[in-house]
Amino acid sequence: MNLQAKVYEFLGRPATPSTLETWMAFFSQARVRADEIRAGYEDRFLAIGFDELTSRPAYVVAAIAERCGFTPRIGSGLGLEVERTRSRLHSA
Amino acid sequence: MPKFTLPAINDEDDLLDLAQVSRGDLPLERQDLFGALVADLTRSQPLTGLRDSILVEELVNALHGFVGLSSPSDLSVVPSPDVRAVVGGYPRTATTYLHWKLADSMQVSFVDGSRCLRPVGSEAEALAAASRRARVVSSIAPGLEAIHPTSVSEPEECNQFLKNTLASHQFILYGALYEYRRQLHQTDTSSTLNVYSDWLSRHRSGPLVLKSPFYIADYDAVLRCWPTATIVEITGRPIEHWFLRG
Repeated sequence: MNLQAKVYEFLGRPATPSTLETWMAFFSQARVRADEIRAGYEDRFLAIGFDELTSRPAYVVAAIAERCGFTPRIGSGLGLEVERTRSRLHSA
Repeated sequence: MPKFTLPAINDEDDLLDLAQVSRGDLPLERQDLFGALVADLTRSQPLTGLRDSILVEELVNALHGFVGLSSPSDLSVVPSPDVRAVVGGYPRTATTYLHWKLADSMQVSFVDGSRCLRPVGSEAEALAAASRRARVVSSIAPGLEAIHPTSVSEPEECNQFLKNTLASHQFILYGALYEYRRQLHQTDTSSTLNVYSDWLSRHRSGPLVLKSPFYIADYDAVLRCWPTATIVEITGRPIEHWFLRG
């Protein structure tokens, strides 16, 4: 299914072409440039999978916290879960 | 003061004339994109009937600033607050969700303007009553301010946001650019560095996390401005399906 068909399915009518084209042009250009930059600085990037983030956010946040040196926020339920996750990862 | 000023907006030709003049300040490879965005602005229904020259002027300046954001020549000075992470990636890939999770769980700071969380439901109504930004956005794209996704269990919010984007033309102009627009209006500059520096000058202390999907178009600036920051990039669904694969 092409983009216009997806949009039609989504909106129930065609989207304004100029808006779509603008988005497409911008992010297509951005993707090309981002790919070039990423290839030269892989150690500066941390890739997170969308599915991983949405299914196991504590693991993702733990990985980012480990990499960036963050500490959990006091009183945060997720922060506590992140800390437990980090402890498990370290003890594994 | 804005960089480019308009004597009046009487019709679309006035706006296009402004675009023709102001594009000359942009890097060559960005000029066509700027022209396309301004042309798109002229076709925007909410603005067709609007003769508020100040608003239109701000929008044009915001567009100019946005398109010129990645100009390497802007980045001769490196600000050095403790920016530890920069969340990038394509729009609609849950960058806000990750930002929210980090804010909720970690002792990190977020600079005003890099944060775009908005409440939903009744909270949105209260926000609309109290926030000028919410009123402005709501007047142009009703509901837009209230539906940015903050929960993975509510994917329809994300879809609704995209739907409004496509229906109203306004996401790029208002969803992403509002803070840039405000900064540009105050500082009379369109450079990435000045926008970032102004944000960072208001930062108090502690490790910082910056977030914007539009950083994906700005990685060279990010790498140079914050040489020790990790760029956290979310990959995969759903944006690849919408904007990259066609």
